[in-house]
Amino acid sequence: MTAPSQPLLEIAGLKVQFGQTKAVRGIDLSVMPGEAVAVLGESGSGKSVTGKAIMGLINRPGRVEGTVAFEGRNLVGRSERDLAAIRGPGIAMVFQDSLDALNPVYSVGNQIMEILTVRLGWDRGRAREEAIRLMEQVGIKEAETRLGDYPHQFSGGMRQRICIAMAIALKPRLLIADEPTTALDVTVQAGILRLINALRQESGMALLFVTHDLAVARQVATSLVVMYAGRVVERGKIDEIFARPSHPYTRALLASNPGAVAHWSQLQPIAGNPPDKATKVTGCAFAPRCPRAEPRCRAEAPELRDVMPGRQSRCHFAEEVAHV
Amino acid sequence: MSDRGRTKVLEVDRLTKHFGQAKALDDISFDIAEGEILAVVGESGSGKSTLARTILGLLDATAGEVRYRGTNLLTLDRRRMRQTRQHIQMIFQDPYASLHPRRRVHELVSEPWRVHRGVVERPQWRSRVAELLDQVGLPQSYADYYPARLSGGERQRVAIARALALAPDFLILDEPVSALDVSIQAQVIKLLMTLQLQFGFTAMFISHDLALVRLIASRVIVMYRGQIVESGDTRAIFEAPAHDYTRLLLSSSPSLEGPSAVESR
Amino acid sequence: MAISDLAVTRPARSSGRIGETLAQLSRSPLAFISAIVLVALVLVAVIGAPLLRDFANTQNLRLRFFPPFSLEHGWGYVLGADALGRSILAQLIVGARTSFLVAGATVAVASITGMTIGMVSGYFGGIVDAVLMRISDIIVTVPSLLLALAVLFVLEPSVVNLVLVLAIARLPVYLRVSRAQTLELRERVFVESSRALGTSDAAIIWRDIRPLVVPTVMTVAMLELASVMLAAAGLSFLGVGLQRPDVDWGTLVSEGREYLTRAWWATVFPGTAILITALSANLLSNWMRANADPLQAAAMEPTSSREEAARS
Repeated sequence: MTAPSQPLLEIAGLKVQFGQTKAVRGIDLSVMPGEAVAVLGESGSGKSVTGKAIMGLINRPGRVEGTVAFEGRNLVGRSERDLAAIRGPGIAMVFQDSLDALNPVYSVGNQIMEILTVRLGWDRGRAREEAIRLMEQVGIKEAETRLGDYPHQFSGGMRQRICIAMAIALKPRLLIADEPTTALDVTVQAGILRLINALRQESGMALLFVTHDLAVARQVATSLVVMYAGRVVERGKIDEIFARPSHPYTRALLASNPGAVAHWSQLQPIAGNPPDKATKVTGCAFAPRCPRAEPRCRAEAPELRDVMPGRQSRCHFAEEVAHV
Repeated sequence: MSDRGRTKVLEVDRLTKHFGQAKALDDISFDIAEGEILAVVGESGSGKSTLARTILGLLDATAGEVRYRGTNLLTLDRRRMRQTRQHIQMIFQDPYASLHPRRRVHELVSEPWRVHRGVVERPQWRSRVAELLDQVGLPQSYADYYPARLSGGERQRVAIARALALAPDFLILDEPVSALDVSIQAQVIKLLMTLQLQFGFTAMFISHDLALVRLIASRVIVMYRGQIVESGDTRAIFEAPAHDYTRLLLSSSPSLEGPSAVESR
Repeated sequence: MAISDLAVTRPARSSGRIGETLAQLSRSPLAFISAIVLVALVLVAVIGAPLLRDFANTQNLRLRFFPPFSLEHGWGYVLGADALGRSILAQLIVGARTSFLVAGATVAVASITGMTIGMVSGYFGGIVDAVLMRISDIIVTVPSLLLALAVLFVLEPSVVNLVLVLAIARLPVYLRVSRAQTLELRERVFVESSRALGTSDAAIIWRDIRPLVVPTVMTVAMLELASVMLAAAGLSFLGVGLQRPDVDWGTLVSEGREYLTRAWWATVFPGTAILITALSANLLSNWMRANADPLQAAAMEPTSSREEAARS
């Protein structure tokens, strides 16, 4: 990838609010063409809402502010018609619950074919050929005979593959995957992650992968965006962040991960709970749980700033955190 | 293999459970020594949850024996079973579901004493609840809260306090942290292990998370479709898995090291 | 936030819960008015009826079909008089007591019995459940009015018999509602957790399941209050309900019907009383359903968003 190209997706100052609940308090992130970015966060960090906001899937009374620029065009506040044109060939999405995402009364073949006949105006014969090819591409064996099967006749992993087939049917330039493997077994998860990696290498589409699992993020992404309490607290190259986190939250997450230590007594849990979305945060949102918080942290909210090449952190002491 | 000589707390012998045609448990045998933590590892459909429920008598076994300190639980009459239940407790996966929504924390924690009379006398309930809450790291003020006010991690702490109320000898932990946030999981695991050191209970830890199992269990049994495919010392299994399925599990489990595991197939 | 803080810092449980409910109620004007109407009617029935019993049955033939809205013969005849010159107002008040008594007793008997059977049936399942459900099917298929008609035709029409017959006819409603909910609740993990603890089945039904079934049954009971009142009225109307000197609103409608063209007031006022009661009970019931557990709802607020997020 050439370095100075235009970002595919650029989010600036994104805020999403439901009544008094601030799900997203201000997010900036960008995805370059072909780049794989993981958005990491716990429940309530606003990571899933961010994915939905990009797709324009936040319904009233939810309020969205800020800009979501896809290929230079802002999507926030666009009409449903404009968004529909972008969904599919521009941005496609895969959700956590594949059973929910598929219509139980139509066969999976019908659901894949419908995308092609409606969006591309293909006749059914051609759409059928393509549906079979897509199902084979996502690793469904005997695709031709399974075309007429209904969603409940597939296992969770296979259903998620079908959702992926539908998402890539229109060859999107960006795929948003919202915890696509959280409901699956590890062996099935590994297959899905391999599939996503392979599809990305073949087609060169960009990926925004929303997850709560550090290790899963590591498997699919080259860049990482860490979210906490509705804000981005750190972003950069994933291997660099893992090697040298520059935000105390990222550091603590890594230290509390069972994969990082040899015995339970070495686990370093993060004390306390994430802040409530309804409460007003003054200063740094992580300060109450931060081992190195100082009075300044509680008084003054840190900005997301460059701390080293290709790395940004929302911490007053990012440099010290990175050099421990 | 230091466990071998010690007293067996639980011996499961040729335990079988059928649901119609399906064999949820097929000829399962293993034992757990005093003070040991045995991990039962498997994916959905492996039968690991059925195993826990059959041991506790929440499901009726089709065949086999479950001996707790020598007595077969499956043939006990109701009264004796009730008495034995005092010594065996379970912590469930989802703390959002396992606590009654209409009870306050102190009612939840004191519930075991209502069922098993004479363990703690009623005038002592309040102070004993306070002690238990303290042991699981919750403030006293939580005694009057409803579970709805608590976060997932706090609820699981309440469930732990409740399980400890009868000072159990044997604890079944059914995926006790997998419903919790990542930053909370380590808290709860550390708490459980600290309590285990303190009280010395024996435990069966059911999990699909190999990284976690590696940290806390001395022995592991790997289940696949109702059968034990491999069992042994944790370190030995992680270093040299003998069964193909164990190898698949290990290679599938994502690592912080990088995408090598996923790419290699 | 303020509400939830209150709920926590206040240890006195019952008073807190009632106060909470009243506070919630006052925020919904329609439900609040309904509650006031019902309370007022009950008070009138309880206080007024014993005082007016004799007056209500006093015949004064000179006042036959005395029209309403005239104070010529005092407040007692402000709503007019019937064919035998009895005060409509006094009869309404005396009838209110009987109507409420019959409806209240019927709903109480039916709901408590139905809920108990429903919970036991749903919890244990098996053959007992199958038999009970078939019996309930039979009761449902026989029109309740017809059943009551048949039984009361044979038996003496008294308040007790009326209550029993109506209660049996309305039993399946509660049985089904509580059985369905028990079926769902018994699969919940907290029930499994109680079983793992060694809790007996009876204790599980009483302590785990009942508290969650009661609010639903209460909501249904409020709705039923109105329909039982109408059913009782229907029976009185058909002549197998209560007989003089017992009088309820249904009897009044039934008797006044004969003279509908000459004296509309003898029918319309008791009819309106039934309508107002039914409407109030319905509105209140709707509100109760929406607001099943105010304390819980208030306590839930600070964490609900977090919980939702955790589940999404």
